[in-house]
Amino acid sequence: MQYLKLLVVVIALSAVTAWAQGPSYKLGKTATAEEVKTWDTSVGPEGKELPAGKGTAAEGEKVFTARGCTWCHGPTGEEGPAPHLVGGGIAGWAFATSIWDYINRAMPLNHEGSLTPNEVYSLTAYLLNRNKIIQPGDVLDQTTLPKVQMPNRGRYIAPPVDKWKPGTPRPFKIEP
Amino acid sequence: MTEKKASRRCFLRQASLASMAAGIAVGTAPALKAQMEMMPSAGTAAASSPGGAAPPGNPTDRLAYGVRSRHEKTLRSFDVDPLHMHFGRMMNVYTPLQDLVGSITPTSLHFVSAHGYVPPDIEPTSHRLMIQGMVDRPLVFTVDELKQLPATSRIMYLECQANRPEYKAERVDLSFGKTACVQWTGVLLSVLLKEAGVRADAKWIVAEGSENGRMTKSTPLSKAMDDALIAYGMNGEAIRPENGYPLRLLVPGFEAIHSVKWVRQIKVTDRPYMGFQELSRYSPRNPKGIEFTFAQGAKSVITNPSAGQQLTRQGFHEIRGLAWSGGGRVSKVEVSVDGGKSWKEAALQGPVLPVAHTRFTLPWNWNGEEAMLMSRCTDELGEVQPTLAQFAKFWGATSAEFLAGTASGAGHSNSIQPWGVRKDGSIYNAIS
Ligand code: HEC
Repeated sequence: MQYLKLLVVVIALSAVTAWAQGPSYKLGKTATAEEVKTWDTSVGPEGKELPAGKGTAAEGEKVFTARGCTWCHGPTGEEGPAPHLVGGGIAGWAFATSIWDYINRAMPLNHEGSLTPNEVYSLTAYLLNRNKIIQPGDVLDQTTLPKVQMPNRGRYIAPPVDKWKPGTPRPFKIEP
Repeated sequence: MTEKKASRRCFLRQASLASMAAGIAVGTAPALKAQMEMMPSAGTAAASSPGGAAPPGNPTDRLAYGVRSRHEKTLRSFDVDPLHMHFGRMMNVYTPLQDLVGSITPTSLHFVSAHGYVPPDIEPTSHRLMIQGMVDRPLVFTVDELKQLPATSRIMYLECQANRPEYKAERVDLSFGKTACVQWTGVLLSVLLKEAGVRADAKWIVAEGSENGRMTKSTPLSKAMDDALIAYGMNGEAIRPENGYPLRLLVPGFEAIHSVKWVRQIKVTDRPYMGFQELSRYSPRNPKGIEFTFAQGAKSVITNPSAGQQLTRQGFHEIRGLAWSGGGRVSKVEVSVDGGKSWKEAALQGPVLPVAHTRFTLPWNWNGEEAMLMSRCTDELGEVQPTLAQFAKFWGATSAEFLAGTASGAGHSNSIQPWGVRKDGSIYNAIS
C-alpha cells in the first residue's frame, strides 16, 4: 500500500517535470527577440507593442487625402461608399489602440502595410477628433493613445474565459 | 531539392497505377494519352456509345488527379458584395447543401468567407509559423517540421458567423451554405504551446493570418490547449488555397472566424486583443454590452426538400437534412411537417461525431396538401434549437427586425428554418 502511494507520487512528479523540461521533439527554431519584433504586428489594448512615432488630427486630415482614404470613405470619412468612419462604427469600439491596429494592418485597402507609424498615429487622431473623442490639439503617441477614453469602454464585457472548459454550456443558451 | 524529386517520382508512379486501374495495360502516361485520344471525341454520340466517350481535356491529367463526371454540374454560388461596402470583392462562397449526400463536404465545395481577401499564393517552403508572446522560448516552425510532429485527424464542421436565416434566400445554400464538414489533419496546437512553454499567467492566444490585412482573432488559451489544431491536411490532401493553404488554425465548435487561415503567428497573451474581428464584427451587442460568442449552438436544416425544389408526385419522400452543434454531438433531431404542431424523431446516420455535420432522415408520405417542414436539433449538452421568434426575443428584438438586419444582437442564428410546401409541390422559404 505504501509502495503504491509512493509509486503514484513518483508518476505524478515525473509528469510535472516532463512538462517543465520543455522541448521534447527538438523541432522548430528558437526565435530571437529581433525576429519576434519584426514578425509581430498585433497591438493589444494596453498598446505595449506600439512603435515610436506621433501625430495630430491636423496632420491626419492631410494624410487622409494624400493616402487615398477619401477615395473609398469619402472626402471627410462620412460619405462612403466604404464604412462611415464618423458616427457609429469605430466610434463604438472599446479601445483606441484597436483603431490604430486596424488602420496599420488593413488600410488602405489593397495597399495594406504601406503606412508609416507617424501616418497611422495622425490618421487615428484625425478620426478620433472627427468623432469628438479627442481634442484637435491632442498629440497621439505610444503613451497617450492607450489612455484615450472610448465612450463604449464600459460596455465591453471581459469574457469569462477562466471558466471556459470543454463541455461548458453556452452563455447564449435559449430555453424554448 | 531532393524533396522535389521524390514527389515527382511519386507522381509518375501514381499515374501508372491509375492507368492500370482504368484497365489499360501499358503503364506509361504518354501511351495512355495516345490510347485515350483514339476514342470518339467529346460531345459526339457520347451518350449512346457503349463504353462512353472521352470527355474533353487532357486524359492523362484527368486520371492523374481525378475529375468528376462532366455530367455533374454542382457548383458553389458566389456572393459579390455590392460596390458600396466592399468594392466588388468576393465576400461569400456557399456550399451547395441541397446537392450533397452524406455528411462529408467535398473539398472543392467547402464554403469560403474571408472578408473579400484574395487567397494569398504562399510558397510552402518559405512559410513560417511563429509561436511567441508569454512563452519561455519563442519558436518558429516550417511547414515540413510541423508535419513531422505527432499528427491528429478530426472530422469537424466549420460555420461562418454570418450563416443565418434570410427572407430573400431562395435556396437553402444561400442562407445555410456557409457551413461545411471535412476531415482536417495536423498537429495539436497544445503540442506546439508545450514546446514553447506557456507561462502560468497566460490566458489567451491571438492568431494571425497571412492575407493582405493579416487579420487576427483571439481565442481562450484553455480552448487552444484543449483541442485546437494547426492543420495542413483537408480530406486527405493539402488544404486548398482558399481554405488556408498551407496552414490553418482550427478551433472546433467555435464560430469559424476563430479558425484563422494562412496562419503565420500564435501570440500567447493575458487578455484578448481587441481587433477588428472582435470589435467591428463578431461580438454581439446585446442589451448588456459587447460580448464574445465562442461555441455555436445546436442547429439543423432540411436540405431536401428545400426552397426552390419541386415535389413531382404524391407518396413517399425521404426528408433529409444536416444537424450539428459546437457543443458536441447531436443527440436528437425532430422533424415536423405541420409547422411545429407535432414532431417525429428522425434517424441519424452514423457515425455521430462531436462538432460534425450529422445527416438525418425521415420517411414522409406527401398527400398533395400544403405542408410546413421544420427540423429541430438537440445536442448532448441539452441545448435545443430555438425558433426565430425565441431567438430574436433573447436578443431583445423581433423576428422582423432580425431578418431586416436592423436588430442589435447576434449576427449568427441557429434558429429553426421552415420550408413551405404548396399544393403544386413547389417549395418556398417560409421564414417570418
Ligand atoms: C479601396 C477602398 C478603401 C480605401 C482606399 C481605404 N479603405 Fe478603409 N475600408 C474599406 C472597406 C471596404 C472597409 C470594410 C472592411 C471589411 O469589412 O472587411 C474599410 C474599413 C475601414 C475601417 C473600419 C471601419 C469599421 O467601422 O469597421 C477604418 C477605420 C478604415 N477603413 C480606415 C481607412 C483609412 C484611414 C484609410 C486610408 C489610409 C482607408 N481606410 C482607406 C475600404 C477602403
